[in-house]
Amino acid sequence: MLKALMKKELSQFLHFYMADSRKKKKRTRGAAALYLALIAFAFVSLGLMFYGMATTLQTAVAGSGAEWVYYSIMGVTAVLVGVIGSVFTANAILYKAKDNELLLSMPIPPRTILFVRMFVVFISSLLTVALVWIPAVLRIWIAVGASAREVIMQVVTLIVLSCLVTVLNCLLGWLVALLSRRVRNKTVATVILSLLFVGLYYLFYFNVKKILDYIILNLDRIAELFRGKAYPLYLMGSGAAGNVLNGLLFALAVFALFAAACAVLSATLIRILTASNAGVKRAVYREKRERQASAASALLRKEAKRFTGSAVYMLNDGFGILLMLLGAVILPFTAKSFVDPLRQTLETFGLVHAADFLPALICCMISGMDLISAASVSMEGKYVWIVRSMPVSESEALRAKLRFHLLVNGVPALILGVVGGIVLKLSPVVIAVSCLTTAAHIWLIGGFGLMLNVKKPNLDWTNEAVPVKQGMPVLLTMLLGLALIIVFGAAAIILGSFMPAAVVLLILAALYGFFALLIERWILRRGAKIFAELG
Amino acid sequence: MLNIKHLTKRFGSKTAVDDLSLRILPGEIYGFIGHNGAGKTTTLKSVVGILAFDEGEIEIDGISIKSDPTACKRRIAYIPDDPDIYEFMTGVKYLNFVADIYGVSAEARAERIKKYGDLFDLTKDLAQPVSAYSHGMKQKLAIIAAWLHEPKLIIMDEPFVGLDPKAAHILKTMMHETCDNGGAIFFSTHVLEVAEKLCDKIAIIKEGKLIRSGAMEEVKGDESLEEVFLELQE
Repeated sequence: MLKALMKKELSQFLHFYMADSRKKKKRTRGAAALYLALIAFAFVSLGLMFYGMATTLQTAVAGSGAEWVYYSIMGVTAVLVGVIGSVFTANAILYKAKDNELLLSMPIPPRTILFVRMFVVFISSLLTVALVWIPAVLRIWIAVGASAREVIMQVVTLIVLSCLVTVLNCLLGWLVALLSRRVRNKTVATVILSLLFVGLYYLFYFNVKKILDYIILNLDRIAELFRGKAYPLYLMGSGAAGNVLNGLLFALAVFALFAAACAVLSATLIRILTASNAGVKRAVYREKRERQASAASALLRKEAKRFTGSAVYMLNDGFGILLMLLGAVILPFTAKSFVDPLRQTLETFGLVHAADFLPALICCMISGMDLISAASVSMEGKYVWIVRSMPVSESEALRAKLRFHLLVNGVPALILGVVGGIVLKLSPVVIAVSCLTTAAHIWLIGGFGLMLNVKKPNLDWTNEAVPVKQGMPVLLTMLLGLALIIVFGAAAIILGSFMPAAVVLLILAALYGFFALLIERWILRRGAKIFAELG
Repeated sequence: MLNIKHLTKRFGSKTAVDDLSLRILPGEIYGFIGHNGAGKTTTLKSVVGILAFDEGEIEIDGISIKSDPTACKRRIAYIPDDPDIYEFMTGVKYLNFVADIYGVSAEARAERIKKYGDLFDLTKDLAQPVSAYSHGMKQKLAIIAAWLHEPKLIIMDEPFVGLDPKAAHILKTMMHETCDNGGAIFFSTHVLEVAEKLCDKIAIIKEGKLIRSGAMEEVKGDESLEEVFLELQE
């Protein structure tokens, strides 16, 4: 039974990578290999960031006699990264899978269903932990080498840390499920909770240098602290450094936690899965006259409802919207502390006009994180028949998706761009052209994401996290965002050395706009035909 | 109202619907029966423009679904076999979304939502998210949404599945009313007793081919519809 369930979960997990949902057949070997290569590329790109952190830390720890502290800190980082980004994914995997009721109706003990779901969370945690842990151990192998025993212990620690992340994610996902039973507007509650986690993440991210500096300066004190008051961290670090006994003790402690979590979660699984909103007041319908709206407006509102109705969708593919709005609010209050030092630093490096590019660059970077359109077709899922049977053309349906992407990203981006321009005391012309470039960038990213999603939709998902986080359109659009930032940077440096910033920005806007126009034309013609075949 | 001419739809090497022709006139309730996988849903989906077909022509009110699908869709409503309705909306938001798409005025939609909501005893639940609805409630919501713009032709795939006896009775009454007002109904069902009592005409499909069609009395003669159906399926 367990084997059959595991097989089902794994085939579901791999289905998206190996099968073409639109054509309902397996991907060709070449397409699957290309997809895997892209994932590997994204993995390596993110891993390089942690390799940089590992290098700084390893250099400071080398020869101090407390090398285990390095593993402890990298381990804690891996756990933080694994937990902060995945609590709601774990919640969705455990409690929101569409086949939960089907499985519960079968003669399968709830603990078996739970164990299998936790296994999926483990695979997901393993990938996240590896993102930090592999660069960390690679740094050690390259810098000082490692014995066979150390390598084995590092691999064991990777698995144990993934187990720990699984336990923490599942317990937090369980808490979210318990809390959300008491709340009427689950999406808002989920988003608020998520923002807390994301806030923690960014607090860590923006202070990583400070944290590293502190660790390097206070290495002895931290080692003492770990040994005295955070003993499991000492066990983990020394285990990964080659101390077999400590490593096994740490593993035992984590496995005991895992067993306890399994017991707690399986005892409440049926209650959570079959619970109605106990204690939540039912919304009562009161008749009122609704205003008549146009079909285009109705489609746009439908996209907005779809987006705001899913915390997973909002947080994974629309987080930049919040960042841009937050930035626009915070910037005027913090400007004094950084504008002059920033200008001085840029002048030191001979980049006198670089500040002219900053608002557009930052807006493009943040809005490039928003991949709403890249999941919008897949998010239709089983509901695709509704729009398809209505008297709206396929191009109108697709246009609504693109318009929604442009609106929700464009408005915050333009606000941030204007606020940033004013704070940096840029000329009105540069501010206006910066906004134009940002708008063209968002148009291009939105169009590209939608184009890919029309071509490669996944309508058969059982968990929203699949189209929103793991889809090829999302991944490729994210990569395009990175590539466009490189193009932007190169243009600013090369063209900016002999052209006014406003002209360079105009050239970029024209370039982005040209490709965006081509893509939109494709969407409204060829894309609409493909959309007409879905469902 | 609906004219299907030599409809053929293939999925790879399998012919799901093979040279099917049907004509439904205003005022008719037309039943569509056949075993599982016979091609009923494929035919209905082709009629409502969800599925492109390989050969033939489908005309609704004289308009080709191929050349002007939007105009055709304005005249029809469709209820699929599984009423998957946006779970991120409340019932009333969904009805308003449908009303906006079909251009139903504020007055007309308010009146119809009240009328059908009360008929199906769903009004009090309209503020609930669709995700909290049972299968039957979703089916009722899909029916209300279908009737909201007063379509000329209503296409339904197994419409009675999940409905309680009272709701099924109300639906039958609504079907008769639509036809009395010059509309037409084309629906598939496995419940032959319902088809026999409700339909003016019936079509029987087997392995994609239309094997019998016409007025109910002509098709079944002195036998019951069930007997005729089983004989034809052998």
